[in-house]
Amino acid sequence: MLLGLAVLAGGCGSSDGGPSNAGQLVVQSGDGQTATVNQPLAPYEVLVTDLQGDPRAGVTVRWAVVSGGGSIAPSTTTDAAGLTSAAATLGLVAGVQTVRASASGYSGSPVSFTSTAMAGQPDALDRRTGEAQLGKVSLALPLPLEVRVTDLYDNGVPGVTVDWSVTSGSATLSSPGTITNSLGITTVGVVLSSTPGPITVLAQVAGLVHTVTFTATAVQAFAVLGGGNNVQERYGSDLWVSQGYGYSGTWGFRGQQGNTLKIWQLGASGAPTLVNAITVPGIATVSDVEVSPDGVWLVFTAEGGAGAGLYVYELTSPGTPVFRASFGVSSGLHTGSLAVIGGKLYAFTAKNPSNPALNIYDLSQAAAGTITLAGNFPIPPFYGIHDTFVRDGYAFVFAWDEGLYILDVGNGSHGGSPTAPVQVSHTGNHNTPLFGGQTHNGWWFHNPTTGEKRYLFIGEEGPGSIGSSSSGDVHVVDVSDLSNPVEVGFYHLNGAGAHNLWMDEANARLYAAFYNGGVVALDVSGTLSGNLASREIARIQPGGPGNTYVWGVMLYGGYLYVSDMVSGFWQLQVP
Amino acid sequence: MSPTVTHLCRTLALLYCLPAGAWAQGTAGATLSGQAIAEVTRADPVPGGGALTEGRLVQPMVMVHGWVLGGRLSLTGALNLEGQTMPDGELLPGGWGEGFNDRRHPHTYLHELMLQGTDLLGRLDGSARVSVAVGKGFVPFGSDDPMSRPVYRYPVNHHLAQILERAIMQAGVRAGPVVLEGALFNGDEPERPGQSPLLSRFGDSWSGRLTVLPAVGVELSGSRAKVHSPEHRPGAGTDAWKWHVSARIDRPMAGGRGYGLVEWARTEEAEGFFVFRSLLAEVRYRRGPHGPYYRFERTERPEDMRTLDLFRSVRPHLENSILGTTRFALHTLGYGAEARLFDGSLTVQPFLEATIGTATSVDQGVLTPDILYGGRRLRSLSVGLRASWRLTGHRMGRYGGLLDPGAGHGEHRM
Repeated sequence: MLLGLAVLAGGCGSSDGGPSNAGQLVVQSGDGQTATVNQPLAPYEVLVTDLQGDPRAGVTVRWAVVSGGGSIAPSTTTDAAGLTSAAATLGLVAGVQTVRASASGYSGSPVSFTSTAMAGQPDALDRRTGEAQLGKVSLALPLPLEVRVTDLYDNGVPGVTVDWSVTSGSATLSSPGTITNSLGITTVGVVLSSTPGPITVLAQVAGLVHTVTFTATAVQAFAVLGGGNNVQERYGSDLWVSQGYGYSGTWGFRGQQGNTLKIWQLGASGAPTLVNAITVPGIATVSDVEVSPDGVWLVFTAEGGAGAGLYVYELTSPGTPVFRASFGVSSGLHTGSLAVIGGKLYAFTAKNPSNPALNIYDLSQAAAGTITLAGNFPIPPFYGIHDTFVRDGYAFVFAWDEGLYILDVGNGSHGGSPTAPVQVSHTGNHNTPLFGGQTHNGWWFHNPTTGEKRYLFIGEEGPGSIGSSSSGDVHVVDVSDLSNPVEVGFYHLNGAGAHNLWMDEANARLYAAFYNGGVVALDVSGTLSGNLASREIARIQPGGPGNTYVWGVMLYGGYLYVSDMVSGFWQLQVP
Repeated sequence: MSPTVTHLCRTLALLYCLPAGAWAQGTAGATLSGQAIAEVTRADPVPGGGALTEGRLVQPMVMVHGWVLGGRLSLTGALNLEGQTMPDGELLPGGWGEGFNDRRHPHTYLHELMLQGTDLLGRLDGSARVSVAVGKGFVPFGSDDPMSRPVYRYPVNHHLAQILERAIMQAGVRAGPVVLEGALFNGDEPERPGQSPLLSRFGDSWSGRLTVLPAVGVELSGSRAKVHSPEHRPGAGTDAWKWHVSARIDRPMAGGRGYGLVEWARTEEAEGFFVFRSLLAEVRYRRGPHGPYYRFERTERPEDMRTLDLFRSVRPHLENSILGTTRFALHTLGYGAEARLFDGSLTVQPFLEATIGTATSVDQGVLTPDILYGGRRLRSLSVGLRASWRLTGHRMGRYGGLLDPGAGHGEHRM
């Protein structure tokens, strides 16, 4: 019976020549070839032998592409010499192609063939990174320009020379020609010239019709044009510029109390010259300064002493303001922002603790010497309100630990008015502080190009030693939904903290006072998210290290005016 | 007459009617004591420049200490009337705190009222002593209150080396020469003499102090505290993390009595953005009625935003910034002579004390000594008379009978 089983087993051969008899499958030729993608290779060949090492004919060998793509005959049959071969074609992707050959029942099976598919001829040149950068004159662009050369099948082509040239503007390239790496990528550095303006850099490859163009803009650094070191007896505070005159407050004690408003006449070049001053008895600080949109009213707030409160002057002659009215607030007003609502001029002021509140004053009768408290919006007593930004009938109230209040003070969306503000939202509080927890001031950005009103920039005023150190970031808050503001980004300056902000909305630039860090210009165009460090355009310490502590900035007549607590009133050229 | 004054008059009348200042029967008893100092100080310069001479009645105190159960349960109270006698503070170049600058602020009327349970476990814990204390008083942190130390002038480091006038719940244990104390309290500083601790903030701050007593009259201690928003009563201010270490000696030597204290203190605020340090050493040697003394301290002071009165800073705070840091390096030399009257129940101590030193800006803030004073050299001279009645009092901030008998501040009082 056992013999019978053996006979049966021995008789179970297959039509493809196996597997009843043990034998061997080995690579005969064709392994390790290199060719261009999508090109045929010399045939892969195998040898099939029996147990005695003699060639075995009629054995079916199956072929398959394991990786790298391409094609090959599915099967072939060995000839009398035990040989069989299959012609393969490489795939479309550069890299290693692996083909497997197998013969069932034969030792050594399956065997593998590997070939390398090289990229084809350059077919395209593509731009990768470096487009539309802002760079400072005479300095390198932040990022090199980067292109990729590819073949017909989008494989990076190595070893290709890319020629670079500046086709408009002025700049210096790190090399006129660079060679692509194994991924088909190459870069070139660009150093801008001292001339501000746009530049264009062309990248091209010999033999290719397609070229790539990069654009970049060389911007000037800040530069001091005028003013500075011009208030020695007092420390500076806030500023406003209107009708060819600058108005800057004073603060604290520097041998004399900060009870004075300085008046600067701007010359033909915009340079400030001190021409007048208003000194108010009974105050220690002029804490905020603003001129009404029609240029008629100069308004400032005051803190410290019996004279604290709100002051209104008429600017019939901008160099010689005439006092018209004041409103005493014993605990003082930290800031005031002006807005015309329903045809009336209002001052939205931050009443200091112990009972902090947004006090809204009707200034429409100031000419007659009358200021009326029109509305009041109390907030919890955690340091109080620091600043308010009013636009489109909404008041953005920056309330330190209590975060951000958005109030309808005349927009109508929630039925609010200056006399009866209605809260739209309150984001953050002293238990869960947001925006850094020290919410100080802000600016609601209306983009005139896109019509977007998406971003609110908030200045965080962290701890500082005034005159020497400060802390706190600029926070970017998405207020697309005013009922649900969400922080989406920030800008951090090491060793310095944010204070007041000003925007060049037409050019999407934010100018931020950064105390001892000076002034920073940020590009806030497009979509903002995360760390805005790469958006920095320029910065300057107008008075130099140790002599700079910038309170506020304002763009006027194409110049940036700066009130520095230590070094006075400056005129800057903007980037 | 204001309600406060009326209240004080009634209190004083009641105290006047108490018999003889001490009472004891069985395991219960009470003592009544008090003190006041009449002084004149001239300081040059003061904020705004120039010199200023002022006279004040300072540290007018009435203290009561009562006990039952053989002292297991006791009550210690101190009424401080500085809110009436020096509402605008006491001239003190370098001094600061609670909205005063270069003046010492008046303390709260109810300066101390502590109920103490001493050695609560009796023999159950062997020779160890466990105590608890609750009430208003001194936090177990740092060194003795300056009021109970030989130098009349308060040190600049008062708010770095002591924490006081808080609602406290404290526990302590002594085992051999080691004393360990811990407490929970409210972080808010009082803003005026009539103000009480904000009980809603009780427990937002803590402290711990380890004291080792290696020999009679010798103490080594180290303290740690976290104080939440001390400078802003509602709680929006920055937290303070405090360290303090000291070595103190107070014992007979060379036919008289010697006293010495060396302390180092450090306070960090705003997560380390601000750091204020202090090093102080003071000594006194008393023999008979004579007691010369000397103190050196080098202490950093934050400069706050001032009001039109440069001696005062803006309160409540509006933000977390300061106007700079000033380092005071001061030498104080003084002499006091003590005389006991009326069978020793009344002690009078005339004294003369002079301070010289410098103030320098540490960080180039905007309120530098040059701007504030018109210069960096400081000097002051005080002459006064301290009168104390039956004052053998406790060491403020040391509750629960954990120190050795005889270690009370009355032993080294001028």
